[in-house]
Amino acid sequence: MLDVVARRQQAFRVLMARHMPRAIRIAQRIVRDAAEADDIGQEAFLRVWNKASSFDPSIARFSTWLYRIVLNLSFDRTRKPRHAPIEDAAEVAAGDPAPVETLIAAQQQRLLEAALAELPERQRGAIALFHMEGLSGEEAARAMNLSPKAFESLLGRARLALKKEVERRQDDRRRA
Amino acid sequence: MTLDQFRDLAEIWGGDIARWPAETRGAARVIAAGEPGAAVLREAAAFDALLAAPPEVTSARAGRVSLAVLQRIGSGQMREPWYRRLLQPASLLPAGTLACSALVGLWLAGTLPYQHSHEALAAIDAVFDSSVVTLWSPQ
Repeated sequence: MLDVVARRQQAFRVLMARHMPRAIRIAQRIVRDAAEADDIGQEAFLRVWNKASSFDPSIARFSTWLYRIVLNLSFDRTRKPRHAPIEDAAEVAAGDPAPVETLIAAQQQRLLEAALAELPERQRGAIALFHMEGLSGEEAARAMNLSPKAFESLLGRARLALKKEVERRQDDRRRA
Repeated sequence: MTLDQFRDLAEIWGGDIARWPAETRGAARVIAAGEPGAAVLREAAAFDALLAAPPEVTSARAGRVSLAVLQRIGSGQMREPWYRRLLQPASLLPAGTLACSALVGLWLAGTLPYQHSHEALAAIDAVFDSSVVTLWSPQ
């Protein structure tokens, strides 16, 4: 990171290669749109480059700082009106037959995506950091600029809401 | 810790006790050793597995986004700051023209008398042919 502060592009390339996928993943989980997630990834690393000198490793790890930038950009985007993401469009079945397990997994994943869409963006952020990125409760709380207790409450609400939504959709499907 | 408290924690933190708050882990492991506790953990872990699947981001996609960042940094560095761009000849021409016009205006205002005088009007006529610029004049 010190090399990035010294404006060394090679070091910045290495940093992007290491962290860009997770920046895009987090953004996509929150904004639910691949193109917009790519834009957020770009914007986040431009901020890293332009504000590298303000990063203090004694206060936070680089990944925590990056998560915070990505989350803020993602939350800003979700407040703006936008078109429905491409994932919401009707799926076209592939020509090749897929194994039953793959179909069930894909179906569950679609169910989860639809249920996640119903959550407020901060709850989606909490799920993404803790479950998808595997951060500890303390790390995720720091990345979201929350106290550990507030993060615990946010994560609990998110899991509960998601579970209820998944169950509701499963029931609807069974009845249909 | 009661089984209900254990269940509440599993609802929040999932099925892996190692990821629960440190102060709860010891008591939680005791409950998890029994069948009711283990069943709670199994159910929570199944939900965790569903949540843990991240959106797929290929290295090619991440590479394209990284390249776009480098291009934007490059184009930003090539662009000179505004005060340097103002000193370019192309930018100086309109600014110079405007400054000359202002100077001529000031000079005329200082030279010409405030009151109407035939001499002054004649001087203006000599410089600008007023019959040409009059709206109703035959061109």
